[in-house]
Amino acid sequence: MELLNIRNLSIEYKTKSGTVKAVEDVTFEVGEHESLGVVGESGCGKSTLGVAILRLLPPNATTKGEIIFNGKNLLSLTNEEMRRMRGKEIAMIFQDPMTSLNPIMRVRDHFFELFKVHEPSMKKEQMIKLASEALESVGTDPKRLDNYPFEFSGGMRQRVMIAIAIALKPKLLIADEPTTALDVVVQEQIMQVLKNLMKTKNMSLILITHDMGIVSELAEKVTVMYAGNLVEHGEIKEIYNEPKHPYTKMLLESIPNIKLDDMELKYIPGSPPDLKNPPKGCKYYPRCPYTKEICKTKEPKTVKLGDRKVKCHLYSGG
Amino acid sequence: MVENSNQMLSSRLSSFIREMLGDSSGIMALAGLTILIIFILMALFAPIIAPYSPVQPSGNPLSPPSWHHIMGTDNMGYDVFSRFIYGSRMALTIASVATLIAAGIGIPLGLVVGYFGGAVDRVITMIMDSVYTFPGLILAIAIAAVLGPGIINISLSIAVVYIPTYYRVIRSQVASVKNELYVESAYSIGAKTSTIIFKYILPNVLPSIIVVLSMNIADAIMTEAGLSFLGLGITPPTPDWGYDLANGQQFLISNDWWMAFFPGVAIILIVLGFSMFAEGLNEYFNPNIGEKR
Repeated sequence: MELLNIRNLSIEYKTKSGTVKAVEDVTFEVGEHESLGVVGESGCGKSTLGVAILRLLPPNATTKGEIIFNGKNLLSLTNEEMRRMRGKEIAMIFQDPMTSLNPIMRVRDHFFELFKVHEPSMKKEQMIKLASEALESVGTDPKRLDNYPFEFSGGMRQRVMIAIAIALKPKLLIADEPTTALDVVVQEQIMQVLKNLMKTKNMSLILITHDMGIVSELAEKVTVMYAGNLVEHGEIKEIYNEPKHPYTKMLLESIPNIKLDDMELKYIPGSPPDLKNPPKGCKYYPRCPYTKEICKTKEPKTVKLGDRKVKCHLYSGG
Repeated sequence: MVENSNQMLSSRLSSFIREMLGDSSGIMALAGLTILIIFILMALFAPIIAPYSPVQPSGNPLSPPSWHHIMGTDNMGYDVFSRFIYGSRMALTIASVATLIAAGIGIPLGLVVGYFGGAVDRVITMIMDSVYTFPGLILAIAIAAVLGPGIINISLSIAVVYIPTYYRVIRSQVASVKNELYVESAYSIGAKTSTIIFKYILPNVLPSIIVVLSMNIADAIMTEAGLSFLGLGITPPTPDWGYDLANGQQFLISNDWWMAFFPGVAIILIVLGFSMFAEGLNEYFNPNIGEKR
């Protein structure tokens, strides 16, 4: 059974200058103990997607569709029921570890806050024990529970964030660009931490990132998003070996590779469309080298190719 | 254990003082603090320090400063020095009660309104801004005239003037802090809204309030003295600098300067103390304020 089923999810932001369609008709699922990478350029709706699962979108956002987690539609829960899910069933870590911790609270108190919300009867010794275990599982000395956030480096803070997120053993961890703000060496350490956790804890992971390398290291499946649309979804090996959607192809080609003879860096010309006023038809056609007439007028349907989903006219027979 | 924490406290305190003495803003804050401590001690130990009762004639009326009455006596024969000492009680009491009331209303209001925003925010901000545009003393006079004399009434009328200051400072700070990532991550662990407001937002906006607080007490002392000066404050013969100043002023023309001079000096000194303390703290908390470009 799937742990998370996202069905026809659409999210719009109402702004003064118009409605932004941040996510459009996205459908995918995450199995138990599975890790899914969500990749795409900035502004393609991947972070919105992650935050939407926790229902933490700003009030000007409207969400349509279904987010079924463990058999329950999260979008139909009351606010109170949803609050009890956060941190206990679904946890999230954010992009910038430098500002993710309250500067005037000890690390210990961040853990205690989480425990108080979900296990009000928990004794203090038990809280310290759980927090220490969580810190140890991310490779941090439990003695540092008494420290304040400013006494930690960025990488250490991200470890602490991960430790807080996993302390109550959630079923799903959403990591929104967990390594983007960190330097490469620390990135690698954090990836190792996440990898170990995936091995030892019974947990699913949604890894939101723009870094294709990180996804290939950690995820089993990958969802490629472009301009709020899911353009390709499937097993990571298949997609990396044989990308179907032109966007995925170009995205993979644009990863810098030191072994290439041709030293020129490949890139995707143009920039993502304005989501207030997206192009008609396929959102990608202005940048796509395979554009046909139909792409400019008709939005492609998502087609299944084996285990894989692709949203492109090249494969829909049109 | 106790000794240990005492030691830690004293070593922290001494390093704090050393740090404060290191730069000009620190010295200013310490000088202000010293003045304040002197006045507070004066208020606390007034019965011991004051040589005579402040509300009973203790010598000939209008005698100039002498060894018996180092600040002279007033037109009723009260000892000016004793009234000087006791006056600090009234000034500090009313100023701190008024400031506490103002902070007690303004801070929670700014916190909640700043956090939730929306239509309530617009309405309350409009009300606060219209109070803020009033000249403080005139508003206080109007309210004091309606409420009548008495410590609580005077404190209330002064408090109303300062509520908007707290409200505005807190509201604008909350508006920026509520979008910090640590607030969002508090949500992501399921924290309640009340927890977020009081544990994540309030402590992070408090430092700016401490400065406003000490600045406001200085202002409140001025306003209190102003009200008493105009006869809207404390009923005589309760010792009060504002009243004494007003009373002594009539006798300046006959060269009996000491009656107005000493209460005036007291008001100037205590306001100076609070202002220096506030300004020093402000520079201490925001080190780039006095920086040259």
